[in-house]
Amino acid sequence: MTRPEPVFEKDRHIKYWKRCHDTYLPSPYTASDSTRLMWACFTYSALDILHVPFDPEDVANVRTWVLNLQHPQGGFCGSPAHVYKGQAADQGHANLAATFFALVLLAVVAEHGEAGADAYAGVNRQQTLRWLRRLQRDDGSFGQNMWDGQPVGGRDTRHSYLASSVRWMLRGDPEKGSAAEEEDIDMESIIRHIRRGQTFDGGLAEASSHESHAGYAYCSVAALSLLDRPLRFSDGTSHEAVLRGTSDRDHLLKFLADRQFVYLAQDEEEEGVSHDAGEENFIMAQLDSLNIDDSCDYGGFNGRCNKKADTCYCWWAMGTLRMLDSGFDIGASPARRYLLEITQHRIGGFSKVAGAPPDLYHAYLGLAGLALLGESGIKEFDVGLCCSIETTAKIERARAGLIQRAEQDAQSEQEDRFWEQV
Amino acid sequence: MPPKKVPQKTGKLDPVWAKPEDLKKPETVGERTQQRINLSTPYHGKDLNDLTADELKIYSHTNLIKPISEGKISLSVKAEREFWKVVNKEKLPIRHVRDNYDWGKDKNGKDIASYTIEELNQRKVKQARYRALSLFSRQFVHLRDQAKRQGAELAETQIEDERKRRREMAALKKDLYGELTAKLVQDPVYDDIIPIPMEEPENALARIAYPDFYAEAISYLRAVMVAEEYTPRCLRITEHVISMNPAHYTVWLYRFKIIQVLDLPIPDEIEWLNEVALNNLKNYQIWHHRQLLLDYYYPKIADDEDAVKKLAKSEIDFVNQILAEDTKNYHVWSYRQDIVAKLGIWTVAELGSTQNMIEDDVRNNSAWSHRFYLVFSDPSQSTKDASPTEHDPKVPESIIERELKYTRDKILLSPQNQSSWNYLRGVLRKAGRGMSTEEGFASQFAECLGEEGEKVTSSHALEMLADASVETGDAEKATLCFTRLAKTWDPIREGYWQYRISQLKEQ
Ligand SMILES: [Zn+2]
Repeated sequence: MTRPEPVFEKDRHIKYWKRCHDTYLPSPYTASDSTRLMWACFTYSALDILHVPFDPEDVANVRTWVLNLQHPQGGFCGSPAHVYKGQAADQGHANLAATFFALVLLAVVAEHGEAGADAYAGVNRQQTLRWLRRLQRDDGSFGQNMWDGQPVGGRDTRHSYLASSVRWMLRGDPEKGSAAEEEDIDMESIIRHIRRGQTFDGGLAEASSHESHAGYAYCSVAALSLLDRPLRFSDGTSHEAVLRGTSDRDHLLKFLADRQFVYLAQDEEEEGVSHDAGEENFIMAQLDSLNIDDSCDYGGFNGRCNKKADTCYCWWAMGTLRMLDSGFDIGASPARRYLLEITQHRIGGFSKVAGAPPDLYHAYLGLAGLALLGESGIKEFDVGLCCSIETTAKIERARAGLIQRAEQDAQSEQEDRFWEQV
Repeated sequence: MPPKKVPQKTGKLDPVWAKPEDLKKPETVGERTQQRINLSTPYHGKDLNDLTADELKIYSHTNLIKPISEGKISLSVKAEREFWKVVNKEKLPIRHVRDNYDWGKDKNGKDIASYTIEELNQRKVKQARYRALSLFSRQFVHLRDQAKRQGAELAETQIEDERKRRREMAALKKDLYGELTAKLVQDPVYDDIIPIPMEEPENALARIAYPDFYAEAISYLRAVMVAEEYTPRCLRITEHVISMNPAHYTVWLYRFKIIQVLDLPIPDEIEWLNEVALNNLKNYQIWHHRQLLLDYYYPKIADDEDAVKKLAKSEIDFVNQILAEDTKNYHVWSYRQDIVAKLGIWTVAELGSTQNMIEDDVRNNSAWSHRFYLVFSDPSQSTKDASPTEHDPKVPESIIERELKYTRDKILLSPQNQSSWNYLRGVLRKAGRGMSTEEGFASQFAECLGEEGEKVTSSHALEMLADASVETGDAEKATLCFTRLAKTWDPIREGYWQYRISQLKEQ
């Protein structure tokens, strides 16, 4: 007997995201108060990829809120807790992740077509690109914010990814010598830093001394891929930086392919309540427990070897393989069945693991994973920027508009001076 | 028995007055109020037609004098004197208890009228206590301001008393009215800080239902950060914010700066951090902060070998304590790798401790990874900065053999455990040996391939056999292995195995 196809409960997901949009996030999110821009971006982007249109008044509100978080010396602050007004405005702290989400979010809510050329109006492109350069350290890594004139924060490749994305979203390719021209980040050192992260088992991490991790693998490869990305995404992507930044590609492919495994639903159910204990693994302890009939039902993913399945790693692992042009398919139908029957939640959204409540992070990355699997009802997805392809096109238009304005402003300023001199 | 009061004989109105001692003892505040109303207005609640002549007289007099006694009608001085003379003479009741008196509700929404008399008395005592404390508190502020003007400061005991006072006031306020008092307001040392609240419009995005006083804590933090104040009281503000939001991205940096400016002892800070870490196992900032502390502290003791050893031991002990609760905590393992390098912990004890963790759980990939790092990056037996996947001739043969034996033993314990197979491959690369050197070992987990009675107890062994065949150029065997993986032993990765087969054809 064939099992019924799992169902993507689109309406419930829409309901979930609308609820996130309309109501307060519960108090445990206080620990993510510094990344409210991320939650805001996930909320609007989720509604976008589920084809929910935005109310114009709401769009204006989003723009005001986001632009209010901009730091006078470039970049965006993570939440109002980090923003000062008036004379103290410089004392706030812009954050790299917040800047990434701010730029994506402004594009998510932007209008289609030419009207979207103003989507980045108000974004201080020049200051933000200069700030981005200040965030890069000599070893090629990026800090998450400036502190006492120094980039601070870890050296992991999350920051490399965010930096590479912000660079792609804002830098563009203004004419040489034009007013919009900005010096680039150090391309050689960012690639070298990422390359140093390959571990003995082929995976990637912040440094080769650490344990390999699919999340860092995504960040490393996506950072490189965005360095390769032409100004128009639809022009196709070269693989120059990706190739230079990964020392052993075959080994990395193996590491990523190994992230999927046969998920034994029964075992987890028997484990019962302790789903938050989190670290038990449900990989077959013995091959003979594999039952040919239903062996491939569920394909879960983990981020590290022998760890438990977790919704988001479906996205991180599959997404990385996609960017590497792996040449093979991951077990798509078991992956889909895992997402839809194990972690898709009754009230909408996805949970991290079976039986847990949904949370915004996994609810969004669960959708992202399904988008990569080509789920109908979800917009086509940009695996590098983690938003709809439509949004990517809007980013391109917004960037062009921003550069054009910078050049025009410079020109009219020059004309002004001309008259001063006369 | 209390002596009975002698009833007043003089007043004509005496018969209609109820006597307090005749009344039943009231149980609640509301009952007592009602009794008092009845006492002051004997006609209360009765139909006018049922009133006795005397009662009627009181009723009419009362209603006549009320507007005057309440000052609603103003009389000339002379007329007023006359008025009071009559009232006095006739013993007319001029005081009334309003019959619509509202006692209000307490913090639980309970009507205070339903309190027992004793409960009300207790409440009154508390209210009086609160008023007295407020008075003392105002006096404290006054004294402090006075001292300040004279360039002096109050004694620490006075400040401590005030702190206690405010805590008691906060408790009373909560008890009496259900109102919460913000934490920092309770401590007089923060009195001079003018908080800078975060500005949040009504329709802000991603609003969070903050816990009580989070906004207060943040507004104090914002104020002292902008003022660039680096004092012990600010350290406490950071602690307060961290307790609610340990992922705040500048509070830790600010805290670190306070420690630097005040030149506070790093071991104390580390001790404090231990508590925080135990309460927030998954937090990343804590470990980053710890790393900053160590980067700052280490140069100060680097020349003192014993001090470095002591630090290394206490750090590893704490890391082990955390890992005992959360065996695969990524931040903790990363931190461990970093301190091994920084503090030179390339020791037998460190190797032994990963060994113990592997004994406990042979699938603990974090422990295997750490072991690989310890063995193959130890500067005394490896090439500096060698990539973890390249052959390192500097690693002694004895070490290679030891690691191979160790790993094979672990594989035999649990053949389908990928961590140990990955480790085995890693050791072979370091040794510059091919996979085929372990073909014999791997074969025992994959018998009669492609034949009747095929028995595979480890898909990872089968994969290693495939890779060994690729190495030796035996495409046929490699294809067989990959096919058996794709079809039977690891079908979820069918796409990958097919890809490996297609790669064989390209070569
Ligand atoms: Zn996850």
